[in-house]
Amino acid sequence: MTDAPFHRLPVPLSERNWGGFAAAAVAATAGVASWSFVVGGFSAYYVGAREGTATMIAGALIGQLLVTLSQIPPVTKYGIETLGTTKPQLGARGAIISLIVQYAILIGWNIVLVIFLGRACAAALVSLGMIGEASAGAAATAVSVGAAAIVWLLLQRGSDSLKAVSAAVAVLILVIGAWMYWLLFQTYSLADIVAAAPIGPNEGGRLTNYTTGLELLMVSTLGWWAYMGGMFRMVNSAGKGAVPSMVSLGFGWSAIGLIALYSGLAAGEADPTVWMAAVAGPVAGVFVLIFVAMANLGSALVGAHCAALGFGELSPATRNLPWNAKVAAAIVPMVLVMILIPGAFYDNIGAFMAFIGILVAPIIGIQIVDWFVLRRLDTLHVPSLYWHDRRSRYWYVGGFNPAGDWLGRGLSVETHDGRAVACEIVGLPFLDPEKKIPRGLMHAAE
Amino acid sequence: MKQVNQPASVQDAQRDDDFEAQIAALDGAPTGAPLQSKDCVFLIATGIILPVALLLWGWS
Repeated sequence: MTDAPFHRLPVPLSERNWGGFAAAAVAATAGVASWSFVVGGFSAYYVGAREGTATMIAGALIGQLLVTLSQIPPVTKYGIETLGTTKPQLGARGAIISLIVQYAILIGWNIVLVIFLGRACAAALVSLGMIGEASAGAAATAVSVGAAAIVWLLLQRGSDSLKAVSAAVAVLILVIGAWMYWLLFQTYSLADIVAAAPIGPNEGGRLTNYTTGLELLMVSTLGWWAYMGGMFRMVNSAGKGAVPSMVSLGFGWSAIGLIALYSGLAAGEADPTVWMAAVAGPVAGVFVLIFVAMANLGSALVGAHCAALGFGELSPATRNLPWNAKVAAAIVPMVLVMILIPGAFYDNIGAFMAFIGILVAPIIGIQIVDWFVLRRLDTLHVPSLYWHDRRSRYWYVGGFNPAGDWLGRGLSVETHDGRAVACEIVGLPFLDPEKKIPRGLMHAAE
Repeated sequence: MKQVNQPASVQDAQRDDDFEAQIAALDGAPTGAPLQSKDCVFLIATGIILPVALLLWGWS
């Protein structure tokens, strides 16, 4: 019997049993959550309905294309996790940089989701007269911590829990999402929504706001990079991974985000738990709350699962920890932030999204070049991803891959008569960029 | 049962040996299918052509 849901090593091809639908359901469960409304609400500041529809969907698709190219080929080919895919580029030890980035994204977004859920529940309890305004903060924190505990419990079954929960949540998301669209267009006419001006555009003019809207979605979408290994390593071909990746994480989350864009423009309120309760009554508010709870818990579940997997791949010490300890490493920081500084974190989501783009975009770019230009995808040495010593081909210098670490490396130069000559790099640059001839090389035998 | 009576250090060493053997076995293990031509067409259509068309429509 294998431990596929908790694998410390790549998932063998024979055990990768997620088809396209399962992968799409998990991706949709992860992609559609309160962050869709957060990003849609942000877009309403800069662009109108037509421009926003274009920039949100286009930005998400462009961003997800880059994420897909950097992650789907290695993850589905070798069954490895996101952190493992960065070791060839950063080094066996240098991958701690990507772990920090991955952790920050996964835990950061999880904190946003559970705080949003806690606040929505507290607001509902206040509006129903079950608690007073003064107790709302404590109730929000209690619900957030409870949500983290539920995630912990669900993760006891590893990736099996993702597959089991995601199918039901994905269907629920589709149904309630469609209902939200219907209710929105019943309440506000299409002409009103299209005619509504952006809430607070920049002073730079239409082009500046148009590009801001595009960048907003591109940058936010790049955050999916951290989730890809945990979601798609159970898929056995790149084709089965590429379609759900683009449809669920590219189109899906932006399509739900458009609801917040339109409601933000027409009603001045992007949060559906507020505007839907206002226009359709408390029963509708409760249904939206259920939607938010299911969607956010589903996304937080995927995020915590990916963070636990990444933590386990960091070193031999973390690799041998029990699964529960790895899950704790993903959940405990969330709980601490939720209890100690929930307001300070939630009020700076814009800075958090910028942080994601700055950190992840270079890694994604490097990986795409490494896989498709330098063709490392075909020569990846999988055992080296799990050796944390000099045996690893990705040990480089002390486990790190320093920029410009070319001196002393060997390479083979083919002469005009077809002979291959082994050389060592002794001076930089070793290729004259103008004359296109090698320099700074020494015959290896000398 | 024999393993239970062994010192923890021996169990750890045995576990590490097993793990090393598993890592070594990864070399040459079967791999998943790479991107096919139709997948690349899909990615180009959804990741480049559709976004460009949307951006032109939104700007017009």
